[in-house]
Amino acid sequence: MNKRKINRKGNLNANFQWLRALVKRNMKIALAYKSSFLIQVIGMFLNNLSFLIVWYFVFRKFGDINGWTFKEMFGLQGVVALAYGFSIALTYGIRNISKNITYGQVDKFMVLPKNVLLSMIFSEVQISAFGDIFEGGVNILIYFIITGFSFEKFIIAIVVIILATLLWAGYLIITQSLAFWLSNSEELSNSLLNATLGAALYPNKIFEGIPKVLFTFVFPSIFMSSMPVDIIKDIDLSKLLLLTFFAAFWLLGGIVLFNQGLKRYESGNLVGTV
Amino acid sequence: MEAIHVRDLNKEFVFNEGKIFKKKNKKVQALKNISLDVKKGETIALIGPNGAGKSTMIKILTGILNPTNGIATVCGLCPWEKRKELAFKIGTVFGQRSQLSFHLSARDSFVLYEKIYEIEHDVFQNRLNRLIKLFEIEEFIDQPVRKLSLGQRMRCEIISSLLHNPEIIFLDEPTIGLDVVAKRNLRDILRNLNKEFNTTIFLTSHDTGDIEALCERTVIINEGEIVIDQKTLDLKQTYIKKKKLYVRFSKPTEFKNGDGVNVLDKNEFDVTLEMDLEKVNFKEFLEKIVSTYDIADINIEDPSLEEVITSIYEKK
Repeated sequence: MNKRKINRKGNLNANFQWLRALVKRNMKIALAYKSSFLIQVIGMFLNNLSFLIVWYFVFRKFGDINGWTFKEMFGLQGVVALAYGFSIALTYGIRNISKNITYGQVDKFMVLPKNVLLSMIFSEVQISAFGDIFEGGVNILIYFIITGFSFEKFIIAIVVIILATLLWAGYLIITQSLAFWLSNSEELSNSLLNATLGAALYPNKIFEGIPKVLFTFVFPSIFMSSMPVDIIKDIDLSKLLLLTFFAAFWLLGGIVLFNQGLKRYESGNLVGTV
Repeated sequence: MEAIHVRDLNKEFVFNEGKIFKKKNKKVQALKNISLDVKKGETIALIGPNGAGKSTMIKILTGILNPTNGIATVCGLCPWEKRKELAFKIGTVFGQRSQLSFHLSARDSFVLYEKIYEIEHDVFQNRLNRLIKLFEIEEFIDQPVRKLSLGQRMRCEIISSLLHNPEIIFLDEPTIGLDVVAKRNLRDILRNLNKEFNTTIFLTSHDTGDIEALCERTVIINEGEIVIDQKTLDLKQTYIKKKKLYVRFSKPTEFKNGDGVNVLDKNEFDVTLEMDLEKVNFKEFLEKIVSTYDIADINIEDPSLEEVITSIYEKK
């Protein structure tokens, strides 16, 4: 018994098994309270539906906004809800990076033989995000029904939603990791998220000049919403390439920033370490 | 090879002080030239007053913090360079921080640790069964953790840090908040663990009962420096400067203060004395009172370890 017999595979398979077990545990926690699970999913679905109702009346009054009609809003709402939902549903720890840093809770992830960022982001699930995913799926379906379905469009839609999800993940990691430099920046991280998510729910055609630059490069809302819809609509491969580079840039930037911040955390500017 | 080897370890924290536009950096030296060796299978307590540097030390040794300078190896690995590799060889228990899922059973959490530590399933099952028996948790292993008492939860916490059979277990205040019975049970279990698996135990605690019951060696740290490093049993002998003597006389007796002898309490038949051992030769004093008075009973008491440690903190 004294001899350690551990199968240290140290490869992708071992990490996959660990993440699968982690998600399974988190889902078990979430489903432990079934009524709460259903209420949250339905609540988020209705919340998102209210946006569409508002847009219906806006477009009924104004017709179109720079070429965008109500039917494009199904696509936009679908992409945003799906990408944001996927970025947090099984990885809600991504929204609590800042809190963990501020309260010195990164320690519990650092004593495990795993990647700290992955351990942290996969540590929680967000039930209401399943409502986002459900509602997003329904919207995309409606969008395909009213604009015409094609296999090509379907594949492109899957790709852009994956890219937008990765972009969300990168953006959230960056805004949450600011806590390594700014003490107690939880509120700031939430404000940055709300600014981006809020702007993502509007068609980019309404933004011009400086706001357009801002919502493209600083708060990358346009890359998370209108651009993916344009790519699906026009099957625009040059825009798809741009989105790919942009998503990779933000995600890699987030990983680099987090790891740089972790060195600061290790060098000890956290609360209660002395 | 030592389980832990530390040489000239320093840790400096830099804090911002002052208003937004007039911030000044304040440096705090949390550890000063710490050198320490711990043998495999040793049980060691690292104690000190709040802010002494205990947590900083444990965090550096477990790979959470980088030191400012100095050398350290734990199980032959540099903790801050080989954090992940080291995590396979050590276990950590933070008394105030749970590693278990509150809403699930302890067994569910243990299953996750099987994957985290990449343990083969049959090896994991055997070890879990062994630990379930050793820690006596059969009755409540399948109950949600939120329904367990603190003592039951701590036993499960410790199991979760032992599933991968670590060479060293770091325990930070493991008995905090536990009642006396739960404390005693936990100490017994940890002692058995050390005997059965030869697991090195590195413990920080404010409870001297933990130290007396578990640790053969005590390191006292204060203001970032090691001030005492010796066997726990010797600690009392070295630093005891006073003894208490309870004397019961056979007939009413008057007893007065003398040089180095202080009467703490008295009545016709009983007297409680405190002797300053730097002024009084205990053996001679005892012989003297036995020959001088008609004594019915006598009881000698050393100060508790807590009193000894308090006096050390005050002096340093």
